[in-house]
Amino acid sequence: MDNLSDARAEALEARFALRVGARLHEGATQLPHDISERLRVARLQALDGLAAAARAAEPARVAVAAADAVGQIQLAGAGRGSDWSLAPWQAPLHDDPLPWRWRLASVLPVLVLVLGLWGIHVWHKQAQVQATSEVDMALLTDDLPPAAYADPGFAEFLRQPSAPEQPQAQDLPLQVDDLIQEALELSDRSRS
Amino acid sequence: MSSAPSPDQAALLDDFLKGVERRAFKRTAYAVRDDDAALDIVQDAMIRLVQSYGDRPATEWPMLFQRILSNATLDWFRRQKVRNAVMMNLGDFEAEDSDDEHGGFDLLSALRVDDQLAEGADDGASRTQVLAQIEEEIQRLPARQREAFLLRYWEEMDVAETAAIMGCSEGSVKTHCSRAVQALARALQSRGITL
Repeated sequence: MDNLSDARAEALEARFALRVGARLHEGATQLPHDISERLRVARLQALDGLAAAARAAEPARVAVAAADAVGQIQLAGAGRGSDWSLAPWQAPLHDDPLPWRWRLASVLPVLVLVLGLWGIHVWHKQAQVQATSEVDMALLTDDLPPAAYADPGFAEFLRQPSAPEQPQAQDLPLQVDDLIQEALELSDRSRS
Repeated sequence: MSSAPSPDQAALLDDFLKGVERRAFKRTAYAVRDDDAALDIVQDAMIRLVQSYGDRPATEWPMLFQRILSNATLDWFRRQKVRNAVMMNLGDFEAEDSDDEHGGFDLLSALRVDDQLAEGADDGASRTQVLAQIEEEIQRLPARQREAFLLRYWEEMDVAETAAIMGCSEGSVKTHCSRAVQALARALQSRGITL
């Protein structure tokens, strides 16, 4: 085996490969007529698609140019026209990424919505805490111990309708006439 | 979606496609072994290039077209749903060659002999016959080796471009190319063909 260097071996390989490639190239130029024709037709069809796309794109391009011109005229007094100064539907139709300002503007409503929902959640939670603390405070400052409210008997007592209060005898005002009458009756009884 | 190219761009595209269509056809035909299918695949690749990348700089077209053509060929194999028949080819597309299938063959000696006999190589057979035999041996190469070889030495891509098109490392490209050359050299030598 020869002690050829790797570089020489690579060069030899490349030389051989290029000769094979040259032969193949020769073969490619000698394709049968029908295949050459079909390749030509395939190429023309591909390019016809391109022409059709260009025709389809032309009205859109004109419309975009007109919209752009309108935008420029409208903003003539307000400074230099730019994508930022145009409404989204007036912006040129291109594949470039949206300017960061449009991205920000589109995200802004979502941010506002999220912040609003968060605010409502915080307010609601605080109202709940306040109501609970009021109840707790009322229980703790009441004369009854809080355990009384857990007593079934006390709860039943609270549910019972309260009876109308009877006036106490001692609360009645003294009637002088009645006393005199009573004294007279007693004296008559003793005499008889 | 790309914008529509200018008429000048369309003319450039036409020239480009005219320049690559024959090699593209042959490269695809080596892979699928069916001229009609190869024509369909090439047309599909042309349409994809024109529609999707027609507005790109012309310098990008060669790589893009070769990549599209490779993908279109793989798509064709997938559509055929004859996985068993093409498993060897698809497996070659997916995996690295694991072993040296040409062990024991004195490549350098053979190449050097070929080199020495380069002049007057067509004495024994007509050029057409030699070409047919070369094409047969090209077709017999594993798909991955064949693709690397043809891209590198026929489409004249450099190693980095070939690696980008094939979606593998530059080292793999070199390995594939080297093994393809060895296999071709051995096969052609066994047929008595020198270049």
